[in-house]
Amino acid sequence: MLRIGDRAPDFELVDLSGCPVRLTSILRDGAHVVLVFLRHMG
Amino acid sequence: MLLIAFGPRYMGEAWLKETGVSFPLLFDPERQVYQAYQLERSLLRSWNLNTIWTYIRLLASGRKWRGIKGDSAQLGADFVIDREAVIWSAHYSRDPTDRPCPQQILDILQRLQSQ
Repeated sequence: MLRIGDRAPDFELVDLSGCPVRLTSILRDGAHVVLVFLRHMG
Repeated sequence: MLLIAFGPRYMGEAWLKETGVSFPLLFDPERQVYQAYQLERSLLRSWNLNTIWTYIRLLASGRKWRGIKGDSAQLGADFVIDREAVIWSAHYSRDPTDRPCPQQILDILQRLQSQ
């Protein structure tokens, strides 16, 4: 498990529009990020 | 806030519409990011009595049941990450009903903003 103080793994995923979103790009823009991993959508 | 899901997009669209959530929803169908963040899978913990009772209450309150698409054993997690990509909070769900207290997340964000 990742812990407080660890470096967050970078990633690039697509949003609903199909646009790529990279974590480091958001962070570089000056934002802190709350990342929420969802379960199955039932 | 970024939401990450591994289900099909049409379910993501339906979920956003139903919940009114407006945060970006990103798709990780192969769960590569789930794996990179070391999220767990557990059928036993995903379908414990607490979870089943929660689903019963949600259905009784009018929530639509859309069936299960994908791996129902996949557990969730929540992270707070600062501008330097350092993790300030890591909450791995013990079961589907286990999410961090929103105030705890807000307190961490406030500390980050004051730096």
